[in-house]
Amino acid sequence: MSAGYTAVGWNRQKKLYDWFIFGFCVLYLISFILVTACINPDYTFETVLIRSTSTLAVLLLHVILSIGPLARMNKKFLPLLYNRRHLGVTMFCIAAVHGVFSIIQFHALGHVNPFVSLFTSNTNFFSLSGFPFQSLGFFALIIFFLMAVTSHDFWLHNLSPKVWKTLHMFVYLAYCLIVMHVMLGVIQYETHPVFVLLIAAGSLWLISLHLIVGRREIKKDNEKFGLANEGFVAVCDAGEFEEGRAKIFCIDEERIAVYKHENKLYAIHNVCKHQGGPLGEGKIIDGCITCPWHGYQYLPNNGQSPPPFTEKVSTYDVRVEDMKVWVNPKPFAEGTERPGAVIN
Amino acid sequence: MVVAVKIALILGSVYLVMGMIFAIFFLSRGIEKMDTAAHGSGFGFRMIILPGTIALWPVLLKKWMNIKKIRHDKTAS
Repeated sequence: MSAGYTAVGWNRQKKLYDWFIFGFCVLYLISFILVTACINPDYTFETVLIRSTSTLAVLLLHVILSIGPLARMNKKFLPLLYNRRHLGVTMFCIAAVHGVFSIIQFHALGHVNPFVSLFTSNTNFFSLSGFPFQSLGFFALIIFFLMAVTSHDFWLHNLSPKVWKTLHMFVYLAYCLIVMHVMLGVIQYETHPVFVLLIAAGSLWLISLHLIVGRREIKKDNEKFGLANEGFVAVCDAGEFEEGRAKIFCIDEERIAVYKHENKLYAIHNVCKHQGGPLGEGKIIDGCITCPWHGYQYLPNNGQSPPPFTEKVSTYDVRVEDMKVWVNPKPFAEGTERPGAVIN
Repeated sequence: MVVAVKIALILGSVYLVMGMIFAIFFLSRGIEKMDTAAHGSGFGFRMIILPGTIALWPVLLKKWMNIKKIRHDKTAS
């Protein structure tokens, strides 16, 4: 969270995270090159580099796409989410090395422009075994490029969170292109089924994770609240709250986070202004509701970020009567002060 | 097919060159007028958003022009 832009807001956790990513990537590439040198000593360095970077990029892409649902299932994965964009940029850089070396190796050694060669050297679009799979990888790389170059908060602010999120959801299209790129490429160049099995297992893992989390979210959103009185809806017992933590309720298709702070209950809109993170899954740090995704903070009594920050979310009225918690789903304007409900 | 790809390449190259020219003006002058949070931002930040500026220059140009227009209207009224 920052009032002005910096290149990277380094802190200890980010440094550790990046060093770990760097170390893992280097170790992977070295191991891949050494193992290939032992198993297939006739492979050229370019071929080994193309293969090692492709497998590493695909592995990182699976990790990246797993972090979101895993963090929803278990809060222990939240530290991975906090700095996911660095992992994404790393993945793009590795994929770019793969793409550049592939174009050099397969398309830059003739008289034709490499990009013209990429799209015209093979036009078997209706053949499964001869499909020009490299073009699929090229389009996926374009999507990864756009995601990587817009990963800074400057773009989130200037493209608007909605447009930014939509752009970054194209990662799923890129993933499909990559799966096709690998599958069709393997059909043409490999006899061993190991890569097909690995990518199939990876896809199955991701689809299962997303389905499990999606089902949980739908179940939570469809929870019915029976009692209603003067616009207030009875949601739960006051004793169910943990100090500094929240419970999320979906009322009238709107998710509301109800926080317990210093023996009072406060309700704010559940969606963080930064990247739409679930505020109700965070906790209160230094008196502020803190988004679990990237640490954006809001005051519980008015939904405003503490000065000099300017983000605001809607607030709601809460009542506690006979230890029963009542929430009015009608939102107040973003940043409106609400007194909070004392738990007797 | 070859002609279509060649035309697409030329159009893409022209788009990127225009993006590079735009980026020079935008990162040196426009950015601070368009986004107050960019006031006093350093060279590192500008280098990080440079590729995106080149790739998405029409979006930024539109936003920059809108802000100029709003300021002009305010001054006129």
